[in-house]
Parts: sequence; structure tokens; C-alpha cells
Amino acid sequence: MATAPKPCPRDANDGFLFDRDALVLEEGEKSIEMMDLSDYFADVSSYAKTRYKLKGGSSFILAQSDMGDADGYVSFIAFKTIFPEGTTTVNKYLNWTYNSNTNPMGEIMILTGKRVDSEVEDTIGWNLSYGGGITGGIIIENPHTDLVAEIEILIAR
Amino acid sequence: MALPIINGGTGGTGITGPIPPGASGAEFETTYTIVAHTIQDIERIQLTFCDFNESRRIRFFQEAFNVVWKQDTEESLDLKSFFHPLQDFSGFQNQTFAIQPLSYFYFDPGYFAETNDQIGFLFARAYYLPEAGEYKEMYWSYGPDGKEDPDCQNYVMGDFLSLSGAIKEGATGNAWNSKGFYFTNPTEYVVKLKIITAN
Repeated sequence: MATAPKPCPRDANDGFLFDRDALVLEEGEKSIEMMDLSDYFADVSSYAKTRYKLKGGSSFILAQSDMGDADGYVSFIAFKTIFPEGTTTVNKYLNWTYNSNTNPMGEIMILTGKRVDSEVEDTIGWNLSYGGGITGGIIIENPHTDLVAEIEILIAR
Repeated sequence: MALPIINGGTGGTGITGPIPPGASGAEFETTYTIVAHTIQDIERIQLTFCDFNESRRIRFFQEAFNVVWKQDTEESLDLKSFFHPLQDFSGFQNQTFAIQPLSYFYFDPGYFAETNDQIGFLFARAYYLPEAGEYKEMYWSYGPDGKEDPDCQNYVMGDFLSLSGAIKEGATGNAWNSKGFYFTNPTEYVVKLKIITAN
């Protein structure tokens, strides 16, 4: 049986980042383009952006009556989270809950896709409706009691 | 829907006071705070939504998602500060798939054993044929306990999907199970999917 690959020592600056129009991997002196994003575009009829400081141990819900289409669906949600300087890697996460499912969120999250109506399954998409008995929305929770996370959100439909 | 409950107090959930020590004899004190009794009580952030007669375009340039109209950049989400470090134990994968019409696949989870199969970064982009027209959607599904997870979650994906979390060397962190993803192409056209994953 093959043995596990031996980890190579890494430069502190090795990692993924965005450079101009691409997602790149920097390894030592090399910068390798991993995904060209210059050809991406999406036409949207409306959008909104906000910035929010989420205190330790608190939550907010992203849901608004005029945010999506007639039924509250949006097609693009991008989150950027800034953690305080000095936050360890293992603590760079928040939690997000959608449709009763809770998952982690680090420094970036991008959710896209238009609503899909199916005759055999429930409508699938990103529902941010609010009002008259909430049916949608994304809850963002800061599970850390000792740090404030700053979140920027861009939403479009 | 399960509500986040953290720090201090009693009531509401039926949990009162510190939990008594279990069979191990270990003692710990746990406190809870009710942050909201119902989902309506959770603070809701307000956004100002701009609606236009002419559509705007989201494009990626200068390390940002930009909302542009003609020559103007009206809004930006700057990702210049984003950095996912590769640590000594880290690995990454760069995979490209052609998903046949009306089919699904489990992407190769690779080797992320140092972080208990968890990944802290996933960036995926779907490329649709022009013939697909307005049907440019896929599904991504995720089972936190792996691909046989009965509580598999199903979501839609258009052009992008990016997820992140906090991995932990030698342990399970707050990140994503690399063995829990599969992607479905519900359209009648082949879709190319490029996925980058890293721990």
C-alpha cells in the first residue's frame, strides 16, 4: 500500500489569493494562475451591498422583503469576512444557516444560481424572502465570544 | 429551524443550569444564552436594493467582484485581502470535469487526511455551452458525514461556488468534508466544472 505523501515545508507566503483577474497560487517565488476570471460576467437587474460588524456570540439574518424576485430568490451572494488581526487560522470561521442546515464560513463564500422550479421536487435556489412568516433567509452567526468579525455582502438578482 | 444558542441563562430550550458531570466524572460548567426565541427575533440587517431599468453586469477585475454599468463601476466587493495559506501539512487539488447531461458525480476528494478529510477552501466555476441558453444551473450536494449522509443538503449553483472554513491539523475543524460533495448536471448539455480544493 502506498504511504502518505511527505509534507513539504511551506513558505509562510504560500497560498491562494486573487491577483488582478484571476485566482492564483503563490508558491515560493512562483505565482501560478489557477483560474482566469476575466471572462466572467453576469447580468443583474438589481443589487445591494452592505457591511456589518458581527459581535462575538451574536447573529443576524440576511432576509428582506424587496431583496429578491417576486418570491424572494436571488442569483448571486458573495460574502467577505475580515477577522481581527492575530486571529488564528483555526478560529477564522463563522456559521451560516440556510434551510435549517448549518455550515461553516471562512473568509469567503460565493453562492450563485437562479431559482429552479421542478415538477417533482421543491423549488431550489437562494431564497431571501422575509415577511408574513419567514420562508427564507440566511442566518450568519459568530460563535466566538472574543472577536468581532466584519462582513461585507454583495447580493444581486 | 435550530437557533444559535450561546452563553448564559435558562429557559426556552428546556436546558437549565450547568450540565451535571457524566460517567467519566469530568466536571464542566456550561452556560447558555437565548439569542432569539423565534427566527423573527434575530436581528435583520437592512440593505438598500437598487433596481434599474437597464441591467447591470457583475464582472471580476482588479481582485474584486464589480457591478458595472457602461464605463462606471457602481459597486465592488474587494477580495484583495483574501488569502488562504498553505501550511506545512496542506495540500490542494485542481480538477476539471465534463459532466454529461442529466448526470451527477462525486468529485475526487483527494488526500486531505492531515485535516481529517476536511478542506478549508473550495473554489468552483462552471462553464456552460452557449446552446444551454438560460439553463445555466447545476446542483451541488453536501453531506457533512460523507456521500452516504442521509441528511444530504442540496443547493443550486450558477457560475461560481466558493466555500471556506477553518481546518485543524490532525483533528476535525470547522470546515468541509471533502468526501461529502457531489455535483449534478440537470441540463441537457455538457457542463465543464473546474474545482480547486485545499486544506
